[in-house]
This record gives sequence, structure tokens and C-alpha cells, in this order.
Amino acid sequence: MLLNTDVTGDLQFTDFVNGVPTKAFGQLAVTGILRVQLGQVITSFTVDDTFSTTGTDGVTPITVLGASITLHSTSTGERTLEFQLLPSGAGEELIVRGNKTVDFENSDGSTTSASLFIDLRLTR
Amino acid sequence: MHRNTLPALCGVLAAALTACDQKSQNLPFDLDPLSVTQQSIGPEGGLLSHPAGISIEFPRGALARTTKVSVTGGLALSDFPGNPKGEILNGTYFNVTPAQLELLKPISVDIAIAAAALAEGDRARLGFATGLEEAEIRTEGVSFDITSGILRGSVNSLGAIAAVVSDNVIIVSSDPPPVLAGGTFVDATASGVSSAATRLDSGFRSRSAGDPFLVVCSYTGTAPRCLDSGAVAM
Repeated sequence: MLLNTDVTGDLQFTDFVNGVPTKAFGQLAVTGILRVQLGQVITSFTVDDTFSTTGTDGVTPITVLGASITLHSTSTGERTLEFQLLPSGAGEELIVRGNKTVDFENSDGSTTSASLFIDLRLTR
Repeated sequence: MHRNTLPALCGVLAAALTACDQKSQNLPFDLDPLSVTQQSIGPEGGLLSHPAGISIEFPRGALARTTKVSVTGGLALSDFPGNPKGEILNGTYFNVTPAQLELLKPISVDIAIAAAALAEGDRARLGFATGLEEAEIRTEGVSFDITSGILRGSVNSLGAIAAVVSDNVIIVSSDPPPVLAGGTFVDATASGVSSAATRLDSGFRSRSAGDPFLVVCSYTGTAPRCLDSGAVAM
């Protein structure tokens, strides 16, 4: 489970070439607590994934390939996000997927790794 | 001699067993949930417990000076300050005073919970509500031992504290996440809509292909829902 999640963000895509955007600017921030049961103990991991586009005027070059967008210049380095665009009422809905590996510490000192996928919904 | 000793010994045993009849005795270790426990705790740290099911550990350096700290249990849930976004568990509301005492370090809190009375899904939703953190429920660093029924975490303030089943929860699936299909972005320039390069901080909120995409949050009760879905693979 994810507890006390908080999400803020905006993304703008610009500089289209042959119908495909080549630049973007914006930011995404996801915070929360991931809870997982390991044995008889329910433990938690803090999720705090925040980045903004960087570069000239905060605009990053991007590469759109299939269902992935690579943001080449962000505050946390290059980021690749899976995405999906859907019509939503009179506008559009953009789903972007964050993927993060988290390491839980077990009571015996060992760690258990998990891959966390979070789908963010943005509209315009 | 032995014939005289045996009846006397039986009499003593009978008297002792009678003395152990708890229904007629007020034992000195009877649990009184409304009792107040008090202890002086100094900068060197210390441990304070209440028989109704809370234990608070003050680490070295948490208090600047020696202070009498009190814990009261058995309080009515309806008296809990603020409006925590979740369900306060009965029997877990304690008041720790002095409420405004400044803590230089977080203190570790253990609260006993009747785990068997909790729905399995609720066990992963447990957190601490404190009177000084308004509606927020502290879930960071909180763990729950199902075997012992101990909820453990740290808090940054004294005052009202209780164990809460949080409402602000997104269920995370253990199945693989759905495949995302990509799509075609609308070129605002080509379609003749307003400039795509307008920054978000200009404050406009119209809906057109020239607008930025914005995170959307909905609400279930008072709990925000800002995520579409989540999945975790161990």
C-alpha cells in the first residue's frame, strides 16, 4: 500500500518535428510511504521522487520512442518514462509511469528489493 | 508430631489459596487504563510506560532538561484533538504531557494493538495520529509486528497520540503493471492553438492543446487520490 501520497506536477511538450515533440519542461514530485509485509512485520519505505527539467530556460531535449519518453536533462539526470495518451472529455489525459527500486531492511539486517511502479495521471 | 503438622499445613495452604482469589482482592498490579504514570526524564534519556499499552523511549539528548513526563490512558476517542484522516483504534488514545515540551530529537513510541481485531488489510494502514500534527497521520518509519501486536514509530511531539488506520491509502497491486501504449501528442503550433511555450506559473487554467499537462487529484472523503495506480514487484 501507499500511504499519505502527495503528487504535484506539470509537463509541457514543445518544438514538434514531424508531429513529435523534441523538447519539454516541467516537474513531477511524488512523495508517500510504501508499506509492505515482510514475514510477520509490516515495514515502510519512504518514497520521495522529485525532479524538474533542466537545461536552457529549464527546457530539456526529449526523445519519444514508442511508449517511452526520455527526458535528457533533469535535476536527477536523464529520466525515461513510459507513457500513454488518451482522450479525456474535451481534453487529453497523459499517464506517465515512474519506476523505482526500493530496498527494505529486514529484521535480520538483510535487504529485500522491490520494484515500485506508480502511474501518474495528468490532464489538459 | 507428624499427625499434628499435616492438618496445620493444609490450613495454611487453604488460607493462601483463599488469599489468591482475585475476585475479592485489589492487587497492587491491577491494570487501570485511566491511571496516570509519571516519571522524571532528563537529557540522558529514559523509558516511560503505561499499563494500558504504550511505551515511550526518550533517546539521549531528546530533552534539554529534566522534566516530569506524564501519560494518561483510557481516554474517549471523541476527545481526540483535530480530525485525523482515519479511524482511531479504541484503547490506543493516550495523552502525554507536557504537550508543548520541545523535543530535540524524535522519540520512539510503541503502542499495543489487538492485531486479531484488525482486518488484514488494515494492518498495513496503521500510523500515528498526534494532536499537534493536525489531520496528518504519521506513517513514515512506522512498522507493525503482527506477532506481538506492537506498532512502532517515532514522533516529534508530545500531547495526544493514538494508533490510527489511515484513510489516505492507495492499494498497490503485486501484479505486473498494465502495459502503456504511448500515443501521439497534439502539436499546438500546427493546430493553431495558443502558444505552447507559456509557462505554468502564469496561472491560466484553460483546456487546450497548448496547455501543460497537470497532475489531477480527486478526493475520497478527505483523502486525496493523486495516483492512478501502483504496482510493486518483490
